[in-house]
Amino acid sequence: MLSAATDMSVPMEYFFIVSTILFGLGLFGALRRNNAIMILMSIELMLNAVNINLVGFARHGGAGDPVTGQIFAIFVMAVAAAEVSVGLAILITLARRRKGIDINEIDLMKG
Amino acid sequence: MIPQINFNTILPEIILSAVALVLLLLEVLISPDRRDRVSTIGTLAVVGAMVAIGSLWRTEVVADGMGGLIWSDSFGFFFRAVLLTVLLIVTLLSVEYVGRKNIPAGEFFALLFFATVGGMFMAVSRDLIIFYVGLELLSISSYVLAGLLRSDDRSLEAALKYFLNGAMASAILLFGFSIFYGLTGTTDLMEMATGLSGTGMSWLAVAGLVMVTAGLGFKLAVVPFHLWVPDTYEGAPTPVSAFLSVGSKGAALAGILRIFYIALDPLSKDWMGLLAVLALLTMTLGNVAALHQKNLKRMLAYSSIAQAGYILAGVATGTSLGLSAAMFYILAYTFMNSGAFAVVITLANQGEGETVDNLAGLARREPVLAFMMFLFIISLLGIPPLAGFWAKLFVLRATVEAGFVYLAVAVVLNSAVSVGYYYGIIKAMYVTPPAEEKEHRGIMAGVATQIGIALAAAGVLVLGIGPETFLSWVNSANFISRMVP
Repeated sequence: MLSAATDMSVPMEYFFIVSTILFGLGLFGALRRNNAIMILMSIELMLNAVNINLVGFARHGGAGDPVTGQIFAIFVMAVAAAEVSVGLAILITLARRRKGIDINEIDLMKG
Repeated sequence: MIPQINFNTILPEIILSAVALVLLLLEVLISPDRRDRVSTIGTLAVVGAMVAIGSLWRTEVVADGMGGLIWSDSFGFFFRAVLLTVLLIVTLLSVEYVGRKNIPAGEFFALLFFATVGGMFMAVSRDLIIFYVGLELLSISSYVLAGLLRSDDRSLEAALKYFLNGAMASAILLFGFSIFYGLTGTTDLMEMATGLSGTGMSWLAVAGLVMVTAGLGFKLAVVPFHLWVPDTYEGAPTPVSAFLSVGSKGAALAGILRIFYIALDPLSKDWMGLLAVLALLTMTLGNVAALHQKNLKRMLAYSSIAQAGYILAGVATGTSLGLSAAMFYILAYTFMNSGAFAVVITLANQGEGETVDNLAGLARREPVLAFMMFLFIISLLGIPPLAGFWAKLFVLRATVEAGFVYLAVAVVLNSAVSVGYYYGIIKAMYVTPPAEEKEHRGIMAGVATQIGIALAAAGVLVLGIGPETFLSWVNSANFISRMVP
């Protein structure tokens, strides 16, 4: 059933192109943004690109059990949620002690 | 069909996780003046987990545990034992520190245990999903640990920098994993190797390789993914810095060895060159940057980057000898580096600063502590007959035999450069007179801290005097020599 649908559906390359663009945007944002929240959002973009890859490959992958990729994607989502909540907790603690979360101003340690 | 699950194989992890949960509960239930019991229970739990590892050791199950998701082989046992040793030393060192800095003991030890459990799963995982979950358990716990000094801006800054860099690195690593999943259709490391040897080389595989290297290199503090290391080690609570520098690195090394030597073995021609260049950069930059550091924790951070470079030189050879060398190095490094951090922790407990100048006249004030620091430093430097010497020697032998002569030369030259800052520490302790005459106070370290330092020193000495025993242990845990006749 799945293979019949595969023949008519979007080819794998398209999934990979979309995910690569999404990942590139996320990486660019994570490296260029100064606001810590924006960096966090960019990292989420990167993780979602990974999920598109995993689910796309699971649908089109030749060998192996297609469920593996989907399970991996669910794990990524769950762990990403935990990661973000810890990140936001750190950010909130930091924001309480100083004004703003511009990472260029968080520079007590250098060298 | 429900797979056969043998919970015995992960008994140490189960013990640690269960005790971590109990400690979290105790934090709320116990009255604040009895907090020291939390540390006692924690220490006992670590010892219990070590006993569990020891009792499982002889079974020598090469078969898979947990329905083929984890490997219960001697390689896994070796790295779990290393991680538990790290945990034991760090726990002992934290007991006094946690009390003085008013860190909630239950949270601290629970997170430390969770982080170690994550690292242990990285060492035994046979599946990328398990590996990823283990890695994130280690990482997320470490982010919180780094920021536990909530009233210290530097600690929060350390946590933020570690978190932002770490989250990005794990996203890059995952993208690499997803590419390899796409190429092979599996997340099992062994099947992945089979799949990759079939498809051959492609630009996609190279992209995946670079991403996986970046993601894992971040955890091992490999240049150019090291930017978080100095800031995080300086700002984090010192026992946490010690844990990150040895525990986190040990787990990352286990992961690198498993993934590169098993799953990505068909690409070994490509990653050997890549890792060799990274090793060269890592040791050189680490040593040069350490030369002009005043803060001890920061200097040790750069020194640990340089040490990661030596370890990576062993990994880059791609041979069984290199694998053994890297494993022996992490064992030696565990003792010498956590020992060096232990001395910094002891000074911090006495309310002294963390700069090299604060060490002035330490030999007169506390001769034993100064001698311990001397021992750890010359071991890090690689002077015989201490653990660090043999570790470096095995790396040199592996690189030369694999034809990476330039790596061997780089290791030697870098060791010469490292004399510059390591000698600065020794000179401060033994030669420089103290700024103001402080009274002789004898040994001020608490009992737990003393035991921790003694353990680290014993490790450095025993490994230095009888390296053959440990080398044969490492060789028996080496999975290449077992697979290839």
